[in-house]
Amino acid sequence: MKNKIKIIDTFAEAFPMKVSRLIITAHNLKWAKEAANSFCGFATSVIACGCEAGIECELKPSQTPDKRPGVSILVFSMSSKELSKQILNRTGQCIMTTPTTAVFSGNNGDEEISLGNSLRYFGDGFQISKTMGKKRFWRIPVMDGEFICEDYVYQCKGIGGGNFLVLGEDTVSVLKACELAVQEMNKKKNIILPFPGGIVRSGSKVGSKYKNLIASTNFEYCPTLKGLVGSKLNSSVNCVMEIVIDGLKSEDIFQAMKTGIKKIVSSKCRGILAISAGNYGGKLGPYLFKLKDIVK
Amino acid sequence: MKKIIIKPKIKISNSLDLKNLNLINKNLSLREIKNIKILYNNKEKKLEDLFTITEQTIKSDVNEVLLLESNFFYDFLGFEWSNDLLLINSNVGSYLGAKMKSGKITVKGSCQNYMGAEMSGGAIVVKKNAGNFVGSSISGKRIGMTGGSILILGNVDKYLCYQMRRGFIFVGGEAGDNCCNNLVAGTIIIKKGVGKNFCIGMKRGTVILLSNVTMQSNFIESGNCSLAFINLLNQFVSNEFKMKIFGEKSKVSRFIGDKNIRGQGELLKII
Repeated sequence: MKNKIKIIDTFAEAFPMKVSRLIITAHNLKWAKEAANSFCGFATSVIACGCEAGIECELKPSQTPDKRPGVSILVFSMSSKELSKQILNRTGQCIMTTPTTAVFSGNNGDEEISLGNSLRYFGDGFQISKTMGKKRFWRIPVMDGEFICEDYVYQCKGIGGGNFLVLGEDTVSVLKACELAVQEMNKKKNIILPFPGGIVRSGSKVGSKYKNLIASTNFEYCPTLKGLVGSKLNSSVNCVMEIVIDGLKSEDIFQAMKTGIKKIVSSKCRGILAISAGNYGGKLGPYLFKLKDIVK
Repeated sequence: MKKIIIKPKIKISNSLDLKNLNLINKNLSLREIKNIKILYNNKEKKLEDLFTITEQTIKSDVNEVLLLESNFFYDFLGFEWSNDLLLINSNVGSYLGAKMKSGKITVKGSCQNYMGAEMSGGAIVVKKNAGNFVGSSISGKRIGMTGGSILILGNVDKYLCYQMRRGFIFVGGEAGDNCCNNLVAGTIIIKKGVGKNFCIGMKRGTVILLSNVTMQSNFIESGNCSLAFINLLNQFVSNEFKMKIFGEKSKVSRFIGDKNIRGQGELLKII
């Protein structure tokens, strides 16, 4: 029990993913964020989006390759093939289309993902390749000048599915607590919160009674099903929301969870009853984040 | 790592072919270095016949070779050079860094013709002037420089980057006649003026002029749109050579050519 909020003795279960970091720059931060938001739209869960993506942080001109304002985004997927496909399609349709943008690799890794090397064909023969040092860039002519894109971005190992659940008396108090946690967690590097506003209300379990569905509602945490199924909610809990975290390393997720939970506990939000976490009995992934260790 | 210091025993006053000096890149022992075969006045000699060679241990990531008291008779220095750092404290002859693969060559003086010809990687810095055919193809060949970077702080003579394919060249002074002829690709920055027949037969590539040169009729003006590429290039030059070449508010004019051969090369005038 911390500040009258019960920390359930359970753990969050996370699994290995493939990740890549992209740096998007533009004439000003507004347009870099427009491109990033468009890229990260419909990228909440690998269940049906193909990837999970989010803005990691904003970058000052001094932190970007072309000295313009930018944002760093992280893209997670289950396989290398899917990650490549998602990055290519989303860059082509969301970043290249946004005025004044350019895109660069934000990390090094063992495996290359073709980006400019594939997008260059949009230039229809008028594209220009430029090698600077060890890096190669493509300059694709577009209507506002040119779109600059690095030849390759790189894939490295990441972790997806870190999470915790906030259980409370009503929607207003749970939403407020989650918003405070997200605000604090968004300051952390190497992680993203892929769901809208960082919060998810439709937590899922693996499988369904319908044979073609790979995931379905996590009925144990649905307040409206209390009494109908084996619920994990007591009679006072009327709202549950989840914060899902994808990160580069388990330490990054651990620290992000700690920051979020600490913020909720310390802010003494009215109506918050407990913090729990989603897991699959340890069968899904090798990364287990025990709440007791996190709040120590 | 080690530092090899090479100093002439006699005054070199005839053609000296140092093509085999790149064997040092194979981490030879001092004894083996002394026995490297060189040609002096078309006669085969050992390196130790003409030079005193000493070795020192240094704290560095790469091996260094320091050549003292060289002059314009020293040809083929750094030919097919790789990995190591070659420091030359005076002038050198032709074919400096020709077919160079990697590593770095720094010359405190000037050099003669075919500097960096057909080089594919690494970096060459010349503090004074360079002769003809910098970054070009060697006579009888059709493929010029294919990678790496060259920085010349002084002037260059004729046929700069003739048939160049890739790479980066910066000229701090003026370039002579026939500069950038038959350019296939690559990036060239020329700080001051250029001679006659500039960029004739340019197919692709980027030539950046930092002075107000009058464009020839075979180049068509294509606006002054903002190019994020300029920022990227500025950053690259700043990292690579610790210098800044464009101001934040430089005005960019773009020209396309050579239209006589339907070339897609670009000339950027940045003032």
